[in-house]
Amino acid sequence: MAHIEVNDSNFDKEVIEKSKDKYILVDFWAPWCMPCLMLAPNLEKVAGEFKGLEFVKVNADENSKLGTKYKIMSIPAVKLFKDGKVIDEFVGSFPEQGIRDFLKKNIK
Amino acid sequence: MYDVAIIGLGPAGATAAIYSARYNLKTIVVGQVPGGTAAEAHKICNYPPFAEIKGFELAQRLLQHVQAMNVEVVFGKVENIEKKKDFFELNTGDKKIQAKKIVIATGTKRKQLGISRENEFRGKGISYCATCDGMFYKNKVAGVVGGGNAALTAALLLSEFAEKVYIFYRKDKFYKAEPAWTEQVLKNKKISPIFDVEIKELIGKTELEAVKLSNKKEIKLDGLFVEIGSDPNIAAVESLGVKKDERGYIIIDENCKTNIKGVYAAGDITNHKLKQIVVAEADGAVAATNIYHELMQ
Ligand SMILES: Cc1cc2nc3c(=O)[nH]c(=O)nc-3n(C[C@H](O)[C@H](O)[C@H](O)COP(=O)(O)OP(=O)(O)OC[C@H]3O[C@@H](n4cnc5c(N)ncnc54)[C@H](O)[C@@H]3O)c2cc1C
Repeated sequence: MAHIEVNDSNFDKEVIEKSKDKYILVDFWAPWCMPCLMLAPNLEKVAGEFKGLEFVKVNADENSKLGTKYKIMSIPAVKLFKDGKVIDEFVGSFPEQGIRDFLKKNIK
Repeated sequence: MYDVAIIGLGPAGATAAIYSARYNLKTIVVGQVPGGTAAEAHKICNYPPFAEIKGFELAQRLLQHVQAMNVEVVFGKVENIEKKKDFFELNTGDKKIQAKKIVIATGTKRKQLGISRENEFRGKGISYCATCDGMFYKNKVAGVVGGGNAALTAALLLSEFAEKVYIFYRKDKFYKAEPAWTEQVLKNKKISPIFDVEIKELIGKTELEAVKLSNKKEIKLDGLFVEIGSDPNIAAVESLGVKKDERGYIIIDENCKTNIKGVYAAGDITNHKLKQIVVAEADGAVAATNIYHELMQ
């Protein structure tokens, strides 16, 4: 599954608006965070197993407005959006199966 | 069947893999985080010949070095290891790996404070990685618990972003830290060490807002970094029956051998007193070399 990089200026369009029709999984990360780099491929892979779900990434270093808005204080921070709102989230590294369970629990 | 399976991709495991490959041994390495805990170090200033290197950069270089060798690299976790008649079987959940010899290089994990609401505030003020999360504290107030090198370097890093940084330490001086770090911390105007205290309570509605100390004082802050030491990552290898010291670290001899034939250990998981990158890498080299000699006999 491909992903797009979302930033301060297109977040509303790519996440808030789109989450009215589907689930959007947002990965807040930074380039020097090794746990983030290990998590991203797993997120991308598992997200691909779910219909009606899109996976996007936000570089938390470059997009401080979003960081502040969503109170990001630890990365990797993963948030699942539906209808413009965060419906569930986790922080830190998660194994593949953990991500799958997280999505199964939330995606109806 | 592999000649060698290495568990852990930190400095010890990576070096064992590189040496093992250079001995032409059929080698596989399974690890969760490349660079291990070293990836989380802010600045490393005691790893020659790098006068200064970021932990993250070192981690990337280690991984590149391993990937340039004839080594199979698996990103994942070894759940358990079984000793068979004359080989070992590693279970990663979706894969079984068989090898004649193994190197345990699983390192350590951060200790938690062990007080109530710690998990609730994780990612909402409680952090275990200053290098990952320091930048979220621009113009905020941060605290660090602990008094060793990891705690002091975390405080120094945070002082680059935060408006104020407290250090909470239960001793009356920084006995354990390198004098170079202590000096920098004490000189830093943004950092205020508070000695002889423990954290008793984490306070906040949905995010951490303050801590209550053992001296009854309440300190307002936006985040707290826990740097109070580490525990060995031993769970996956427990069933092998390797001998451990009283703190749970694997006892090795000068050849990095454990009490079990064919099982070697290297780096921070061992009973070495000095837990540093150069030591971990040296262990990895020693373990791989002795495995080579053992297999050649
Ligand atoms: C904040 C900080 C700053 C530091 N600064 C310095 C410094 O300036 N200089 C210095 O020399 N040292 C420093 N250190 C110490 C240094 O990082 C360690 O000594 C070194 O990383 C030890 O290497 P290791 O390979 O033994 O273990 P680790 O680096 O801990 O690596 C262990 C590896 O094993 C993996 N693992 C664990 N269990 C499993 C399992 N079941 N299956 C698969 N993989 C597993 C882990 O994910 C990791 O990849 C610092 C440490 C910290 C935390």
